[in-house]
Amino acid sequence: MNKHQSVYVNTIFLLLIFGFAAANVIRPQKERSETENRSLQKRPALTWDSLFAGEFADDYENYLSDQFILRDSWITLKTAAEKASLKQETDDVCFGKDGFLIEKHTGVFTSDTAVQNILRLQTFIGNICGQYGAEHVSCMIIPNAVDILRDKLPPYADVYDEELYLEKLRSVIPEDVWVDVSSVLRTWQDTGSQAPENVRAADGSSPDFTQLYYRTDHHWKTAAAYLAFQEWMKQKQTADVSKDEFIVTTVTDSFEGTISSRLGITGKADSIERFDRAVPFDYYLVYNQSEDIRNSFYRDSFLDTKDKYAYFYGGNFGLIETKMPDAQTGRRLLIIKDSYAHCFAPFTCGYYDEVDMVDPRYYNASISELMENKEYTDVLFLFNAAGFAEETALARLLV
Amino acid sequence: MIFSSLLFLFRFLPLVLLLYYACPAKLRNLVLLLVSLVFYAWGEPVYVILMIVSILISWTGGLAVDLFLRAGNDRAAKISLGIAVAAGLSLLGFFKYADFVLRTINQITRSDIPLLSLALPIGISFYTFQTISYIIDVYRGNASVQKNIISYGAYVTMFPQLIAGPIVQYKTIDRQLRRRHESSEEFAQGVMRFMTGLGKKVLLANNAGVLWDSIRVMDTGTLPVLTAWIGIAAFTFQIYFDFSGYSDMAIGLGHMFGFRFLENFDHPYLAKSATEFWRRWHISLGTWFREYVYIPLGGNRNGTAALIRNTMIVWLLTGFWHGANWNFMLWGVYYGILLLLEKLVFGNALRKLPSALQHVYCMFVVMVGWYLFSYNEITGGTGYLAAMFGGGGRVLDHGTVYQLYSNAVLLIILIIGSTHLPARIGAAVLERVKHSNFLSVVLRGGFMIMVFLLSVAYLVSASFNPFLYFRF
Repeated sequence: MNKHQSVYVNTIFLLLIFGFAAANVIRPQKERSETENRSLQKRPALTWDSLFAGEFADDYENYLSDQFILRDSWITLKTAAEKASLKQETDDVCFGKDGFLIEKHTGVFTSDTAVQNILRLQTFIGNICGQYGAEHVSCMIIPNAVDILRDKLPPYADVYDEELYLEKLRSVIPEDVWVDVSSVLRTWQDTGSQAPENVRAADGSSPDFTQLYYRTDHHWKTAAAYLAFQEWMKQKQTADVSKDEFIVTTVTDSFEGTISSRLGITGKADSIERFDRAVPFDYYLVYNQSEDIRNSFYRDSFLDTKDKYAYFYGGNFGLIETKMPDAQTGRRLLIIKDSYAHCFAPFTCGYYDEVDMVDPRYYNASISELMENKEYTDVLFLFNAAGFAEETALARLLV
Repeated sequence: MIFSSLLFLFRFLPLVLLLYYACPAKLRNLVLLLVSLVFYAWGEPVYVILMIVSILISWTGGLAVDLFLRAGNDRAAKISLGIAVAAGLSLLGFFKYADFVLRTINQITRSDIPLLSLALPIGISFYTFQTISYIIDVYRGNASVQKNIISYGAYVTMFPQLIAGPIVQYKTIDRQLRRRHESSEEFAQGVMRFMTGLGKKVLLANNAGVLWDSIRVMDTGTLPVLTAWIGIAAFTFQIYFDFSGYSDMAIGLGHMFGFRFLENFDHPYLAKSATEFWRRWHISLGTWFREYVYIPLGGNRNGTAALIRNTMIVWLLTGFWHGANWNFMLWGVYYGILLLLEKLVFGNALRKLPSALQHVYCMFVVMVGWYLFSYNEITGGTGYLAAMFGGGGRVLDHGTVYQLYSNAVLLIILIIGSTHLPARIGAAVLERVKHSNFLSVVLRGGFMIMVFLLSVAYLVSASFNPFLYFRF
């Protein structure tokens, strides 16, 4: 390299490091990332304490990465590089067939929390069976896409952890309490395709029932929730759902969920469906004990945002009570749940006087007190398998 | 702070370059010293004091040794040397090995002495070895004494090599510390070297690490042979690209400030024997042990028994230097025995084998070595080793096929990247275009921008950016 060339090489290098450094200093900070759906670390304040505890260093490094200019584009570039190297997965997400992005949940089901949660659930279910009677208690652990959409995974990408974990859970829960959603969804994935006869689109046609999970989001689709609901009602002999008609409406077909956001890629967009009873019923919702009263499960405003799954109930809340003033069933249901219940719970509301949803992750008061104060006749525990396995808040069920 | 971080690339380095080149030559060692202290204190605000103490001890020791030598008092010089070396080793021993010793005592005597639970001061193994080499070289007359505490401090703390080497011997940069010529050509050479290292670390080592991490957490009871070997191969590549990438960045940064550090790696996976491997791997450590331990012990000059004793001492220490764990000792002993076997038993036979078989032999023993090296992290204990030799009961399964084809491109890049090929092709291409300023700059700039953009992309989005040699 002669002098002339070296000057140019040095200039390129200095432009790169000084250019990005300056751009990052000048650019205004962002509070949160809409694509990643989380708040971002802002420039930390420097204090002696934070400096010597090493906190300042950690926060500052997170700040640099969170506030890095064009953050989303860098993430896109990384995923593109991974794909270009023919990797079948990145960041524990498989690039599946037909545009499915499937989270593998590696290590989630063998962690200490996962093992502890089996015991916690066993104890909790035992307790409430004593209180309500096993015939009034149900437990649904919803398998994740990786366990059901095996045919969508890259060839030879066998992932058995989740299946084994669900088997373990099943073995500690009484048979009439456990609702075997895995079998229902797996059988459907393998053989089913036609929508049940009592489910139709508004124009009378048969709605799509082939897709059980979103391609780009970690949730299950409403159709899958319907299948689980139907199985549950049958098992508990609460009602013969097949006699009731449901009308399916597609509320958006441009849903790109959390997984594609995390990887910074635009996947194949998904549709979101809502199921309405053909014979409507009256209800109203009370959020966090009268902080907010609403008269629909659905919030259209979220369809214009990135977080479209929050169309159901507006997202995560500690406690949502749904009251059906005209229903006279004598049944009141408590659902202890995570967000997988959001597209599921509206189905239940036509069959109870009241359906309350409590989310242990967000509900700060005592759940056992809630159960004492309100006279529930039935309890349903509904979590997705991976969320259940890594949820530390479940310890709160036992206090 | 580590080089492969946004903090280093976009805060520390730009500021240091500005400061360094804004100051007149006389002040540049001071700038280096001060910024290096900040660099160290960023992650270790308290232990920076320990490092300063270590610097003061060895600097004073050097002065005393020099003074007594000049006065013709060899005995006093020797005592000064002994005290300074012993002090440096005591600090290293206390902070790195105290808990290990206590734990061992507890195990043997079934007592329950509480552990100190000290965090390991980053880089202490590296800078202690540098200070020791300085005093010994002053005593031996191989290095001239450095009277200026700022220059000496700059030598020990110099951030490019501070936390992970290469272990720079004082005598090799004495002249540059006193007087050096930073130049545009040298800076550009440093830039290219730094970028190469950054790419090796962020793009190759980290990705190999992802593969290794996914395999090492698997149940070793059912781990197929091939998967176990893919895993250990991934670790083999991770540790090489991690460490040699770091050395490249260190050497590159050295050039940017006008220093020439000696090479630390020379394509170790091209070696044909364990002996040759160690001539190519972490060269500055091997050199250090040879010059300051093996040769003073008499090396190979006093017959076979002494050779065996000296070799085993050096390799026990080499293993132990890497960490206060039995697995590192075992790893050291393993190489000690291998090197002796190659020297005394089957070295000649080995050399008569076809060279491909020699490579296979060498990589086999090196990979088994890396298994021992990573042993303290593998939860399955000996289970993984058993799996490598069929303990899992299967040769391969679906998972193996998946790992292989999903990582095929990565593995091929890693293999080619461990050979001479990339450097030779790069040099040949640049040689052809050296008369065209335009093409030279476009090729270098293109390489730099590509590595830079991809590395930043991985750094911004990745949570996985460990640095293996941080622990030593």
